[in-house]
Amino acid sequence: MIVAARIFAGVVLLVAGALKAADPAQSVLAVGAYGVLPPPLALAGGLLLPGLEIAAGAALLSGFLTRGAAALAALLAIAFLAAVLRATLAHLDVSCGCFGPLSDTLAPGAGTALLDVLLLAASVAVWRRA
Amino acid sequence: VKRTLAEGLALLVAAALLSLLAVATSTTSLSDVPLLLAGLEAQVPVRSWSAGDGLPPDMLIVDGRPEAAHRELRPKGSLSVPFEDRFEESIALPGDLEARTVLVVLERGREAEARELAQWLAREWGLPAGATLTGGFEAWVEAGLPTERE
Repeated sequence: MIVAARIFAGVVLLVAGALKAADPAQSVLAVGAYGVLPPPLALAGGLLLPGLEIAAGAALLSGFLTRGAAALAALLAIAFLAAVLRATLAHLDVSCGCFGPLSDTLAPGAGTALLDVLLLAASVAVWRRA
Repeated sequence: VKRTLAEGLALLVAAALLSLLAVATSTTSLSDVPLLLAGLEAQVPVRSWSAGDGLPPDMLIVDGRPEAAHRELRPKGSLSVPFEDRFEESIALPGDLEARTVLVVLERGREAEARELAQWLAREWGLPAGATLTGGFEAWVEAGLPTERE
């Protein structure tokens, strides 16, 4: 069960990170479109996000630095959830940005919120057992 | 907790290196950073408008569909700015547009393009925000909002 949680969180983060890493500029603009962070922070966040996701995802999959990776994944999931919530409450029309170019037509909503909750649950489970 | 922090720190360093690598191997380079920052500063919020909420008050409606479709049937009083032509010429703002936002209507399924056009027009015209119609022109018609033809 815990292995399944590790693989699930690892794959989701690795795929999301790899797709974003291919186009860092798009990642920056996607973060900015949520309108939560001031431009310099959105820039830093958008540039750093692909690396964070790949590092956490790869660590979870390989079982190396699992505890730190699980904590990082949980923090990312909380940040994503907050962004989805804010976009929904403000009636923002943004691309969720979650999976780089694949998410052009994917809007933050119930589906992405569910994915974030699953990611959070899996990360917390891994963190407790690791 | 100590172990979590130590491992987290190691991962942060790895993440920073990976992000640098991503920038180095992509079409974006570090010299684009000022441009990106300017792009972020110019970004305006784009909201989604539901046709069920009725006619948007004080909004300029822009029809982003091809001109032929616009001639055939369009939201009443809408201005035609086909998505495909958006960079071709600067489009003059019709009339007095103080405190207005722009609502972009495109075909259903072209959400990303509608978003881009709304963002671009709002910036071009110096408006504080843009909006797109959820469900596109089809939703406009289904909701029974007024249309006109040429």
